[in-house]
Amino acid sequence: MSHFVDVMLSLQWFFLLYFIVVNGGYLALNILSYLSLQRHIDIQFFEDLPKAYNNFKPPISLLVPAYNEASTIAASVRSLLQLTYHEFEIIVINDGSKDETMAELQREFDLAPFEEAYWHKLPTETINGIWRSTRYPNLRVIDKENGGKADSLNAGINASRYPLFCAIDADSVLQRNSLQLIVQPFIEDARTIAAGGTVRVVNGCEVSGGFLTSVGLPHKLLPRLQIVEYLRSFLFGRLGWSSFNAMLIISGAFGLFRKSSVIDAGGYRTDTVGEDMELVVRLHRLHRKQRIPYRIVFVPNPACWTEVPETVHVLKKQRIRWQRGLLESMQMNLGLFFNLHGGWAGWLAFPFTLLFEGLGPMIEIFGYAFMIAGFSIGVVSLPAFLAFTLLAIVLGILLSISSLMLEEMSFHLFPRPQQLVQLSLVSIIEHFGYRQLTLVWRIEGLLHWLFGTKGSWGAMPRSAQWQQHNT
Amino acid sequence: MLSEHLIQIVVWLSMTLLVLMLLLLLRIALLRINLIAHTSRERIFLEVWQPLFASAIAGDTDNLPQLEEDEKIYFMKLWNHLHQSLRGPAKRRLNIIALRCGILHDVYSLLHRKGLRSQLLALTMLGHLEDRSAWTEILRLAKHRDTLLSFVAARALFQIHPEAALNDLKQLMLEREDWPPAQLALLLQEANRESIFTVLANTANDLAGSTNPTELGRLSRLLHLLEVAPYQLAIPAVRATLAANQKDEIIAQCLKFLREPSDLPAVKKHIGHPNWVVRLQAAKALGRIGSPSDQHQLAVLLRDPVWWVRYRTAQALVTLTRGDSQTLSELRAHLADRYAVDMLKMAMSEKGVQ
Repeated sequence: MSHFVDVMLSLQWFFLLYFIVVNGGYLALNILSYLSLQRHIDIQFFEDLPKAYNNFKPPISLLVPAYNEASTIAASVRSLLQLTYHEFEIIVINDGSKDETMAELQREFDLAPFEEAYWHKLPTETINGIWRSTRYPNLRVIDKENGGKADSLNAGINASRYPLFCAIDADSVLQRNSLQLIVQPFIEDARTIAAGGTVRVVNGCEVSGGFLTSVGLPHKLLPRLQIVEYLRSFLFGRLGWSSFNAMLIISGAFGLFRKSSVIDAGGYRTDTVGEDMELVVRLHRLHRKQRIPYRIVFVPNPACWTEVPETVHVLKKQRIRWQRGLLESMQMNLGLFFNLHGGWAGWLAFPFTLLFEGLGPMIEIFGYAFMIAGFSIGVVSLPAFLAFTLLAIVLGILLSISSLMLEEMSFHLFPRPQQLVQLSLVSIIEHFGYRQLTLVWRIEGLLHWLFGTKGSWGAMPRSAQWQQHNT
Repeated sequence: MLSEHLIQIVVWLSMTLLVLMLLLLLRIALLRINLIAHTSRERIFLEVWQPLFASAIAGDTDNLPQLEEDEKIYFMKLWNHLHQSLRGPAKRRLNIIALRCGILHDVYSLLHRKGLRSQLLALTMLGHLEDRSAWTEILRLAKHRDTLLSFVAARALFQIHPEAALNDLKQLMLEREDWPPAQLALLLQEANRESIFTVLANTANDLAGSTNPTELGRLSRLLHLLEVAPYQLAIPAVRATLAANQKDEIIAQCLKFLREPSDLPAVKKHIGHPNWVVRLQAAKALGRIGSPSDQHQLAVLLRDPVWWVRYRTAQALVTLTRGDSQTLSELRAHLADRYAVDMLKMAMSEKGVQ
């Protein structure tokens, strides 16, 4: 019995140490983000001024993988065609959709067969045909056999003409100036190989003609909770890591890449459900290994809006997938982990993400179980149990509130003060049930990774209410 | 078991964080109140000043009211915005408005403040005002290690006195790798002075045959900058460089400039270059300046192992033959290489040639 108590006491210190390091890490990221955002605000004024830099901006290929997107694809492409950027092409990749996606595209954009001298730089599933719009010469559609999102993006890269490509989800809502915002790091620094934009939640907003016209909050609690999560993830997570070139993920919903760097790295991997994160981690690993100077940058301006799940079932599937994708990305690039030339990415971001984001859920759940078990056998006293529970909750809320503050400091997108009050309340509520629920799903994702369950297209049922009303 | 002492620390820490959380909530509330107040003040300012600016730009600068202290920042924002949007005499009138409103003194104070936003705002305004009195201070900021601050300072110097700015900054422009050539080119384009491009072309001429890596780096940047120079000013230096330099990157950069048939021998010389980037630029140049009789020589590159060379060659052939479908079809019929045929078909398809 005394041996068991010794183990419990040691575990107690382990969990305490874990708790201090993880929260200390998040607080440090928060401070870095604050400083980084402060500078961003300082120069924001200049970004608002009209610019005449167009001739110097590199042209961009927009890659839009689509799988069973018949209901939204035409509206999405129409809005993409209206982006304000001096030179860009749109390549929609129909990944063997079983619905009317291809027919819809043909009907809406008058597609005609295009005699493309297709270059197989990256291996992909069979290409059935390439089409070009007779009305919009900068719009092409690749019709291919089903191979997943990563395979579709590789096909898009093969067919793209321009030095930069922007990978976006077919249902992403961009702003007219999104490309101008995200291309900026590539103009400012030739070492930039990738840039990720901030993704915000479109549920509850108004969209007209494919563009966001008014920011609102969804009526349902579940998407509201995700708004706070997105703020936390983008405004202090990615911004913090980006400030020392250690950001390990660029959202698949909106990211800009230097094509040559991605091709040199081998393109998107098709054997992971987290192809977006895996690519970024691999770019870090290979550039570090080959000692090639590079930058992977986060652009904090809201540039892309996406619909988040409104039902528990869909959200659960998404989170399992995300967790699994994260762990696969880490596993596939273990060479970066404490690599001699790994820099901040290899020595800090990778271990931190692996330990606290990847394996963290397991440790956290053990922590909860330990507290309860310790309390029931008397190793953890009631005051200690209550004190640590209080600290954990207060810290969590503090981090959520601070990301809300970063948002209000910089972009103040939520026009009505009541919305801020509601989001503040959500920041508190999420720590009573929701965080624990997502923790369980993340563990499920971890188990899927551990036992290698087969993945598939991360298609998510969309309500697209914002689109039905307004396009 | 955890000591009472440790538990007390945890409780106190929780309480402290709770207070911090409440302070953050308060900060959010204050930020919003501040934002509402700012927006309202700015709206009122714009209602009054936008018509005043409009009539002042039209020539009536005598009826400008006294600026209140808290209006100055809105004035500067509006003034900068208009400066960026307007051209010609309107910009000069904007400068008169700023001087009449006595804003210059405030701009100097902003320049000497520590904050990045203040300094950027001051530099932008001094550049638009073409005010030379703070030259030394602006030059100091142009040498600052912060990329954005130094670049905005350099831009201001070029707006104030392009020739003097080039004299003071030429070295930095060729050496500072954090100043993107594209942005520098824009800055030179804004200055739009032949004298500047003459100096740059002469410098390129001096470096034409260089082999030293540092000098080659400078030459490459110079060629980037000369892309926005008047053609007649840049071309002698480009030709001299093309004749004297063996570096692939430099040759490729030079080929981009060529527009005259007299340069055909230099272009054709590089059609078989071992570096594909040079071959690509040679193909493009031949498409630009060649004649239909050059098509067979150009068509050789349709068999190039690099996709991009084949693609640009096919496009160049369509340009060279002015999209004549019969000529292109005949050419295609004589191609034995499947990849070459596919590429030519694609280029024809892109241009709508049947």
